[in-house]
Amino acid sequence: MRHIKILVVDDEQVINTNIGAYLEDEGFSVRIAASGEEGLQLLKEEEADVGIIDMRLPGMDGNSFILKAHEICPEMKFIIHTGSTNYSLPPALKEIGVCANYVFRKPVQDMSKIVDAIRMILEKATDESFDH
Amino acid sequence: MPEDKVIIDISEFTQFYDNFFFTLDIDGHITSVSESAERILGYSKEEALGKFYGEFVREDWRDRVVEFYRNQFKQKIPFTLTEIPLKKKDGTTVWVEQSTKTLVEPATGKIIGYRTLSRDITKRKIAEEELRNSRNNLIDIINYLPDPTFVINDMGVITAWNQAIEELTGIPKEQMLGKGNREYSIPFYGDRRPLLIDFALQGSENIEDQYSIMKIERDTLIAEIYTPLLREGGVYLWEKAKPLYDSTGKVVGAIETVRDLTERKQAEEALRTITQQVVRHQLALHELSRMPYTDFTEAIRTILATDARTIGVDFVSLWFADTQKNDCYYHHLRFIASTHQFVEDEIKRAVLTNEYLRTLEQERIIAIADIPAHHMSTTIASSPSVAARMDVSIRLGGATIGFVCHEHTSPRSFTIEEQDFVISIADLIALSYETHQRRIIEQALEQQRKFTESLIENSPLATFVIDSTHRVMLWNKACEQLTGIPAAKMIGTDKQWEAFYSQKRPTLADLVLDNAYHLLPQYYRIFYKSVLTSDGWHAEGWYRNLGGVDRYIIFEATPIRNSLGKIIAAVETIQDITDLKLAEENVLRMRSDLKNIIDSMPSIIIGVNREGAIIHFNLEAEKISGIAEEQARGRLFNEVFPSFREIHDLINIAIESKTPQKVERKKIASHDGTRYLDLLVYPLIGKEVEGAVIRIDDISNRVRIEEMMVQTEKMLSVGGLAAGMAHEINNPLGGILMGAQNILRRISPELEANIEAASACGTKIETILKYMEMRKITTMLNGIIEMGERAAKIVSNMLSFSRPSESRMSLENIQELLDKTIELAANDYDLKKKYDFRHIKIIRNYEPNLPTIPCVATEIQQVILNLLKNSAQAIAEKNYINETPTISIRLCRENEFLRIDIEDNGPGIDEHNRKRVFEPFFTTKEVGVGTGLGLSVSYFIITNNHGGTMSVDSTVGKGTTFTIQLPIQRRK
Repeated sequence: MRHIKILVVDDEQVINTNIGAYLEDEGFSVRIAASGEEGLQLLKEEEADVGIIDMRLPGMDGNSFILKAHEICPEMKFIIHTGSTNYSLPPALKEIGVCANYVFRKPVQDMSKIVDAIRMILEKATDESFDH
Repeated sequence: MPEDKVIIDISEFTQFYDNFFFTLDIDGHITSVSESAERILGYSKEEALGKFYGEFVREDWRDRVVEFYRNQFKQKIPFTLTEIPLKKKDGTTVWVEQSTKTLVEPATGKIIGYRTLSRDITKRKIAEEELRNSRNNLIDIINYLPDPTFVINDMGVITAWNQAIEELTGIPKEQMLGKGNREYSIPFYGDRRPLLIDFALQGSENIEDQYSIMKIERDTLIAEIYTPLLREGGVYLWEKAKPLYDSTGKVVGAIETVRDLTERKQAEEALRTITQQVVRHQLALHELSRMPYTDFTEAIRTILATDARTIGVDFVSLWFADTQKNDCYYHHLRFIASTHQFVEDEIKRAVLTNEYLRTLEQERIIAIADIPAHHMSTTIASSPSVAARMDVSIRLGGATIGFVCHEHTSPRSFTIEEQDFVISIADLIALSYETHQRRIIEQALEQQRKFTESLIENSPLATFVIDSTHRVMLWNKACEQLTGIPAAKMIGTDKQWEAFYSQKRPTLADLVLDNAYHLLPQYYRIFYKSVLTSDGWHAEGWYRNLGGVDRYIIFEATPIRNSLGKIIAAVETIQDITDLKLAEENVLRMRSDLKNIIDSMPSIIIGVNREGAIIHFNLEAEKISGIAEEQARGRLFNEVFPSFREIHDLINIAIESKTPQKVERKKIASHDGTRYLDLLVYPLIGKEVEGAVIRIDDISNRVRIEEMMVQTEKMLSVGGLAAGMAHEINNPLGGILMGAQNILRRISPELEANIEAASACGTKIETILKYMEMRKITTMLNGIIEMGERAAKIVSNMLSFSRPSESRMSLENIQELLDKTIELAANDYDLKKKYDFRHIKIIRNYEPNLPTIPCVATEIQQVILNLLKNSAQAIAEKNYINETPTISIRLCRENEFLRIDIEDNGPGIDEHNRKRVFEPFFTTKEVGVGTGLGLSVSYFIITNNHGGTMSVDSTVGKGTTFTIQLPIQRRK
């Protein structure tokens, strides 16, 4: 089985490290980026299946990153991981398939939930591809 | 004896129906019997033949009859006639007359038997019996007649002499009965002379000559006689005699009844004497009563002299009661008959014993024939020569005012008539006395009347008086002036109305005179019972054009009564109080304006005088105190507002210092919770301090709103702060929690990577884990996770102050929501926190038929659950002795809100803490028990998210009530 490729974008190094470590332990292939710009660079090098994206980022914010990343990798799915208390999904993100079920608020107390979300989001993607 | 011969003998008698016969042998056995015997006696021939004749005689007669016949036969008496009873076969009696002949053998002359002829005489016997009985009855009747009575037969023999005549004559009937020859005359006259009974029996041409008083009614003779024999002093007798007849009308005797008339005769005699005496007394009294009244003393003298002369006593004296002492009498006058002189004040006074006095009052009269024998212990100095005395009380109006004393020097008695006479004399004296007194009073009254009239005439108060015929008696100068009508035009007329009215109608005096109070409403708008006189009336009103001017008049009318209480006149005063009335109306108008002004103010406005008594009380004050102005006026401020005690002190200070006193936000505990008041006491200063005006504004609602606003602002600032902080805190928290989670995973022997890494380090993952556990590193890591999670929760709660509700509102049934939450709370108990819902009594009180309201069910549930938990925790802190731990949940509609009360009877919250309960992070619980955010979050949910209100009221020791109001319509 091909490794599922995850991109984690968070300016908080500790969070990147921890999510990365957990997901690697779960068998995912993880790359991390400290900013949107860095993240886009990585995607240009190699596409990813799922992005776990912080919203408040130095430079480009999470929303903008997702929209740009979508242009680069249209098949890529996104999980939002935000510390913001009053975050709501902008319509543009909804249009490209980001849904409220995959918005995680910090602090995430159990990372297995993220793993569940990844699996679910990919399963759904597979179903959709079948439908098409 | 040949058989046929006997038969021939028998046949002689068979023609008689009632007869029968039988023959007997020598021993008395029946040898033959006629057929009729069988019909009469009932025995058949066969039954009778051969029987002893005695068997047919009635048992009580049998021995006698057998004995009788035996003797007859023994003496060979040839013929006997007897009457005997026979017994019939049916047991009844048949009386027979028996003639018995001996049957002789003609040849030898020897008696061979008997022949008896019997005749049935039963009917006769019964008649005889009845006759005897009725005679005995008659004698009995006569015997018991109350009048002395005796009866003689046609031979003049005494046949009855009854008990009453035995008593009258003293001669028993045994000596009289059966005697003839006018024996009955002896007890009456001593000799044998014909009495009235003889004339009744025999009749006589000239009986009327024999008697002085004689009356004949047909055959009955009535006479009166006098006999000196029967009793000492003789006896008057009334006699009545009548012949007695048998059934054929033949005279068979006579009866006489006598009656002792002596007592009646004597009574008649006495009556005649008394009548003469009474006539004399009446004449005397008549004379006295016709005596023209000149002078009291003269009248009394005449009366006493007449009294003495009429009943013939030596002295008559008059005593009057001492009005000061009730057992004391003053001597007034004494008449001495022998000299025909009057002595005045002979003895100064007398004290009568109570007993004598009482007797005199009860009996009216005491007559003593023999003074020394009487125990009369009066100090009235009867001269020693007085032997008889009679006192009679003088009464006036039921009271004894004196007495008349009659004294006589020789012993004598006083007859009933004389006693009656002196009572009349006493009454006559009483009458004279009363007349005398009345004259004195009348004179005084006349003076009084003149005085009163002149008083009224000169009174500055317009006054008129009408008499019992409604005619004006008096019309004073002031009245002339007021009405413009001179007295001369009024006196003697009934035109008093002309002075006041354009049409004829009664004045107040006329109504009072006629007792026609029910007509008052018809004539007067304002009237009431006079406060000046006990039965007078007051009326008032405007009178247009009275004496040329509009006037406001007060009428007062009072009836004038005579001594018997009868109304004989009425007096009316007329007062013109126009100026006063106008001033009063002005004052009233001003007062009314003022009242309207102060009533229109939203504050409580109360005017008090210097003593603190209420003189103004506006509408708001009525509303707040629940006391009407009429009731409040005149009462002390403290009585009306007992809970506003502090204000009273302010009033005093304001009045004393003459400066306004102001207190803001004064907190007052009242029946419906804590109230906040702004107080202003403004002293009223005229020439001096006259009182104060108190203005009270209830600013409780304003204070509440302010408190709420402060609260909300606090929370919003917390929310804003939290929102700003959250991102910064959540990131590190995320790092901490994720790191800890990863550490725990990476020491787990379950991950292949771990085993490989351990092996690369020259150890085993198990060893590393063991080491970690031994050094409690895993426990500490878990601690990091737990603490991190708690911090995350705090941040999350804080965030709820800023985060607008994401959940959508829906229409919810609050009652169901409450029930669900209570159920949830009941399952949530925590031993560590020492409360347990199972020990708490839950009382639900829901108003029925409440509407559903728009709300977020989970949020409301969160709030209620939070409150229930708080209550349960508070209850756990209190020791319950006489009460049960209770939480009451009430739900009701209050205007446009649903109101939820959650009340516990826990320890309560003191005032300082109560104000702060909704503050974020405020908690009274131990550190670690609560976050201090539960109530503030609840508050935020209710006020911010739902547009409701939330408040708390608490009394220390009694409990706490949280009140939530949720709008029924969603607010924009």
